[in-house]
Amino acid sequence: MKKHILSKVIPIIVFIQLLSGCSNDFFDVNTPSGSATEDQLRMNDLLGPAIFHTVMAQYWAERSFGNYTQYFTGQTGQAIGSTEISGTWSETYLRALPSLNTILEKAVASNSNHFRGISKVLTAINLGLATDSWDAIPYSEAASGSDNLRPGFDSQESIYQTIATLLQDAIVDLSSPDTSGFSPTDTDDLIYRGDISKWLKAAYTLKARYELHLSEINGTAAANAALASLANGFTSNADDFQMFFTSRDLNPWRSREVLARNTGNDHDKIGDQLVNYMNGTSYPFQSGAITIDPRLPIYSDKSGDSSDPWRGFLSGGEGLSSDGNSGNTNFADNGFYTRVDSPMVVISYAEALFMKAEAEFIKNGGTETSVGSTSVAYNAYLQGISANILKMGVDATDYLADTAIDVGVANLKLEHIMKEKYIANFLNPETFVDFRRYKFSPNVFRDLALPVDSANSSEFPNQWFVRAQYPGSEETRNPNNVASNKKSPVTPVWWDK
Amino acid sequence: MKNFYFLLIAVFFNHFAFAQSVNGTVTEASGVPLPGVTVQVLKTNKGVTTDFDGKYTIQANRGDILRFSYLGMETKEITVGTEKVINVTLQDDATQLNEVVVTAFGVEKQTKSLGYSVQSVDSKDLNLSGQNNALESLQGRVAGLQINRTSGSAGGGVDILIRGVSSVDPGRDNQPLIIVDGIALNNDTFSGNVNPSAGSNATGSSEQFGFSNRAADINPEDVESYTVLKGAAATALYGIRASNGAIVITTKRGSGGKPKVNFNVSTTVREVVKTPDLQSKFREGNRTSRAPSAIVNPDSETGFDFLGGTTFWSWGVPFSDDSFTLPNNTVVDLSKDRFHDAYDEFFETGINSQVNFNISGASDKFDYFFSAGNSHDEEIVPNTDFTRTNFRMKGGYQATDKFKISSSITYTNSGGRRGNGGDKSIFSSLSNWPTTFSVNDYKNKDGSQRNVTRGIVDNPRYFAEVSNLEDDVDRWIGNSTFTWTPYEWVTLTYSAQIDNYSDIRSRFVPRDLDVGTQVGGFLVKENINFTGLESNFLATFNKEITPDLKAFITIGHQVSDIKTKYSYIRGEGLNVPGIKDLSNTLNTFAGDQVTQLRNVGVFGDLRLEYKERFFLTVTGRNDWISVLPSSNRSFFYPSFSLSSLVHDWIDPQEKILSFAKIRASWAQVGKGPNFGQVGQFFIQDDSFPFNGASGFSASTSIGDQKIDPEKSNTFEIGTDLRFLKNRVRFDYSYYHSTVHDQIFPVGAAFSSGLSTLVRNAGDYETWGHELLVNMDIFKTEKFKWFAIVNWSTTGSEVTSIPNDLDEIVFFDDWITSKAKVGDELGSLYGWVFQTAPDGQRIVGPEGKWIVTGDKNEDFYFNNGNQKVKVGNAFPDYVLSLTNNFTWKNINLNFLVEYKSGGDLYDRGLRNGLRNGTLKQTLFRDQTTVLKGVMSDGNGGFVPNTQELLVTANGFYRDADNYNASADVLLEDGSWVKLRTVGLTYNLPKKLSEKLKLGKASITASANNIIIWTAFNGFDPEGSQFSAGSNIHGFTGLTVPLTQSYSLGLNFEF
Repeated sequence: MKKHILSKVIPIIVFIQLLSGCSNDFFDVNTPSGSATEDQLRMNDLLGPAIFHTVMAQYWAERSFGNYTQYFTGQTGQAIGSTEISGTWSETYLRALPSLNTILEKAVASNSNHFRGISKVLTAINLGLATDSWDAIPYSEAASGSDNLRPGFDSQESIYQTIATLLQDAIVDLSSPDTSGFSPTDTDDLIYRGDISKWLKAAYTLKARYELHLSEINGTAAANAALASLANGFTSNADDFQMFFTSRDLNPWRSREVLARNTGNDHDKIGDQLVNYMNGTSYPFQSGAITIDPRLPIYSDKSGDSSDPWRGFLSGGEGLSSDGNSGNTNFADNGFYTRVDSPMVVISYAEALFMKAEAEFIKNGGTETSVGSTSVAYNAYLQGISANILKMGVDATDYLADTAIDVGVANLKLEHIMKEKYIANFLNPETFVDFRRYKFSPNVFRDLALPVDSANSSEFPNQWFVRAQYPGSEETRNPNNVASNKKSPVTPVWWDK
Repeated sequence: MKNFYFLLIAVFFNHFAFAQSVNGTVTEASGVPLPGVTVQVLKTNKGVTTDFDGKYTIQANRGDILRFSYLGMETKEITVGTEKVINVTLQDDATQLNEVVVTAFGVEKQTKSLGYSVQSVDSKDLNLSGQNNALESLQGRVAGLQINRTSGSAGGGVDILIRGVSSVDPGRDNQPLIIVDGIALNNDTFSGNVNPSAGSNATGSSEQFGFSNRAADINPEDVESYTVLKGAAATALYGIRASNGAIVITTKRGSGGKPKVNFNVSTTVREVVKTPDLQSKFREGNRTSRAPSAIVNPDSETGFDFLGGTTFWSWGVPFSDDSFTLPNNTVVDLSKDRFHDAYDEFFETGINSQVNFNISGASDKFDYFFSAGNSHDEEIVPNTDFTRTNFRMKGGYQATDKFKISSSITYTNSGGRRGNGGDKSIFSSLSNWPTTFSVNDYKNKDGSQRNVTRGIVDNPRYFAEVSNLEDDVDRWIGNSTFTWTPYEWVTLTYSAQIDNYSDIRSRFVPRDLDVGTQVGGFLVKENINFTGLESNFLATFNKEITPDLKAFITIGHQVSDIKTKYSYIRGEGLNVPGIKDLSNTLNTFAGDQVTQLRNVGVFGDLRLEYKERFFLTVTGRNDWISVLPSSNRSFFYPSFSLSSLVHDWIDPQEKILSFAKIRASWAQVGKGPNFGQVGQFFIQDDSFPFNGASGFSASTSIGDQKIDPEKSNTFEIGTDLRFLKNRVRFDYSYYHSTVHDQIFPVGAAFSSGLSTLVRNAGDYETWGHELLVNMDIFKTEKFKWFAIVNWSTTGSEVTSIPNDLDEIVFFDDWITSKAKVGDELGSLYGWVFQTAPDGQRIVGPEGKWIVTGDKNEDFYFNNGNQKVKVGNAFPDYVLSLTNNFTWKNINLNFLVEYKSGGDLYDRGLRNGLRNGTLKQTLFRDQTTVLKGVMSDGNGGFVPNTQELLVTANGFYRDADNYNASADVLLEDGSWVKLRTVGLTYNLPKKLSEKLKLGKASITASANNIIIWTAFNGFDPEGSQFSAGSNIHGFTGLTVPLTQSYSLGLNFEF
């Protein structure tokens, strides 16, 4: 009988021993399926999201800044108030920079200079957009995870130095051959499909952009620096820094402006400022061959009677256009920027040409009101228009021939260059930088005026918004650093003297 | 197998040789037979129960002692002599000293010995007709237990809270552990993700479909009784998984006598209880010009003649106007347009039919119970239904005097077609629909959507007809329990269980509904596969140390391994309209996910009884859990409870006070984080694969590697007082819990590269009073009347939250559910109308109230408005009264429940205000002087005298001055309900015998039929979020609750 009992007790004891808390393997089931460790991942696996979120940061910024620059208004013509562009903050800090840091660490460790260079170019783009939006921003202490949960902020001046260094280093990295055996490929490099020579040109062109941003700080020196960089920059539309969406992964502008409109959801309307530049109102066409900029129907659809003129929505105009009638311009259903598979353009060959035109214009002593410049400036201006219209896939001949555009080198004014850059940089937050660099001056941006209802605003009547506010989540979670850098939305950023 | 037969034969001969068959009848003192009396042969595990005629048969040897025990009766012991028939009469137990309840691990303990509150409900006291969810029938029956239907659909989840919420984490569930016959049963509510990849403003799945909590798979007809273990002391042995309390379900089993067959059928009719009141005076029309945008024309292609503008708002002219002159001087005929109450027209009558069958019986060796049941609902939302089919087999075999095996196996199939709620759903569409047009006129001749709003609002009926979510659950639960009693004072029990279900879901959305537009329609298939393995080992020792001092020791070991596999395939871009197949979609998205939780616990329980007067219980449990880092994986927590009987000191004669017990307990329980929260991982980026590239990025949430389990300490005191020979009983408890180091995802500054850090953070306290009063008002043979009163309160306070967080936001809308330090859990915040120092509303120079909260001094360009605390989602107290009358063969019972307090935001309300469809908007285009005060120009206030023209834009649609205010949006969700009423007629015995039936009865019952509430919308008991969600205080855009009327027949033979 004794034996009988033991034969039952022993297996039970063994069973308990097996299952009690001794074995760590038994409990090692807390790793989410499909997750990976840093070591398991190649730089190529991290590059796609790093690029994607860098580009999306720009989208979220433009959702607000495009309203400030009057590319569009809210669906009832409203001008927006102060903005936090919190989407940009998340894309940059939560998504892009951590991935870029990981790529950079791996690139340094494996001596992969091409990945190192690409990581630096992308970091510079993120920092550039962020500092132009918020002025002082976290960088030197940022994106280091739980090591620093409340990163301190760096001044815009130091961020600009960082951008310059990053791009200079990137140029060095991208100029020399990579012998590490690691390289971006056709599938994971969503911008240049592994073409390093284009990344190099992009680094130069971006360098020019950030050098020119300092035109108020450095004056002509900024123009000269930009021209030197541009000499190695983009050489055709094929160099454009842009990311394409697909019919599976919709372009967010289409989603926001076209699809949302179809179902009565929140969307925007094309602004009067842009439409007036393109329908002959601000710059009447002279030739009679054209009545509108051939790009206008690419940007916008016109509702109502087809014989009605194009009427953009006045900023803050409660749905009215500048001619007193209701606006009739929607985002185009299948325009260049609003197809399912449209690209999001970060920086283009056309912008490079307009930068060249502007820098040459300044270098030659040009001012906001001066008339005439060099043929180099003038040719860059015409080539910029031509490049952009070509990109839009329409015929530029009549437009370029019209004397409203082909003003002649002796009549070239800064406003011509900036107007064409404004049109070419549609939905690019770079325009908000241009507006601020020239203080929203109607001399540079003809007919530009504060939103109609600005005078009645309870916030900042009769003032332009010139920066974004730090997002509320950052203010709550990093209160001291935000408090010491927070400024009103009508206070210019450092370079905006 | 050979051995098994050998064993059988051996056992058979063994008994043939020495045992004799004893039978008899057990009756009450009045001579009425007592069914269900336990008859045991002492010192063995042999036992049977009496059948419905009070008869039993058992094998016993001469000299064996038979023990007859029955709840509420004195236990009797009789020694077997030579007689073959032993008839027994049991007396009412005056002291009820031997009353037992089921506690943790199915251990029966005497009520008198418990140092904590436990409350039981027998299913025979519940009206089960038409009930779909076994737990729902406990509504109003137990103090401190809150059971809420989240939706009126039959398969809708049921949310269960014991003593309020126990977690301040919005993402954490507060559901108690469900134990069936001693083993845990999965009660998850799985939401998944059924939204498209882009452009959907629709809310998450948890808000849309009111998914079933998986305890819905229990057939209510299989349940014998429910016991609610409320506090930490009661659940101490279950460890972390019961940190929100436990509900212990005991299922029916076969009892002695000949085989018994039970058959019942019922039919239930359901109707919506209440819907928002609409104004029927004004028709659809522009909110400024009042011009109609469309008129009904059945002959046209679209069903309407569009006149221009957007048909959406009901700010038009009265229905009594026969014509309208448009701005272009066209006169349109309005004489044929009529008011249509969208709610009345939309909802259908739901019908539930149930059939249940069971057969059971027992000998002294075997007991068995087999049941089959089917319940089918055609629901109130068109084109939705729910079906549950159950089979259950349970049996026990007494292999030897000392060894018993019992097993059960259950199969459930449940599921149906569900309509959705939340934003961009059937219900948001319903709250936005213009009442001039019938929702039921929903289809054009070509089958496309007939939509007068030109697609801005989906037609709710069309939505319901073409798009729903189907779920199909197959569930198997099998378990076995081995009980071995090597010595009289030692019992070893081992049980093991496999609980497995697969839930296959499919949702179809065509391209012409808002949710599907951006992606060209879509189809989601989800597959959820759950496997839960449980292993329990228990050893109990009873030892009489001295005649006055007894000791009971239980030690145990428990293992659970819970694994959920989830995968989905979503096809977007439907090619051929109407073909619901993945092959008909252009873009495919897929993913999978596995979560696994493992838990090992060892525990011990020491109970000492001194002179059957003092009872001390000490428990301890150590848990190891997989969700914690290995260094902190193991943790221990103790409990102590003490009770004492005091009645004979106070009233030695027991003339008035027949029983009195005082009790106190202190217990600690731990809780770990959720699966996968600790550590940081690289995962496939949300937006990838993108354009052919796959891509990984670091998760933005990271869990502290040094995280400790959170600990809650609960102190409870109580008393159980019974008077007048137990005819009146008061049972009162007070508890107070303190939770330290709550595990919580704390928001990190995004600039760190992290969005949340899961760590120990925050403390809070909860407390409450619970009172149960039982009264046997009449107790004669012919007429019995008893009443039960339950009353409970809950209170709570957040005592600390991390410095870097000034509030914990549960859900943000026009009304926000959040908590700051010092707040109660469930606090609701909103904007309010500005008030003067005396509390009267300030009327501004426009003649309107002004929506604002505290001035924000922080930064000058914020708009200055902050939300202030405006209410609380949880009730102040809940009171229920059950009455049960039996007169001869007729039983009548009803339950009235009162919920005092508990504020609610109806998320459809603001749509109706802005659109001019709600009755509140009837007052329009007239001037009034709003109640309040206005500035006297010198910094003081005088009563308002300014006239205001009340219009759509100028008032109802004005967020700055009207509809954003919590004074308008937040309503008191208090109610009084006639929760159930039931009338049963039992066929007289003579008649039923003539029909060759053992028993027959007919029951008419009704549920949720009368409600008194000031709340304007649907029945305020419904909730916007799925069962298990920690968000409370929101309702309106969900399938509303129903009232139901049932007729049932029950036969036994």
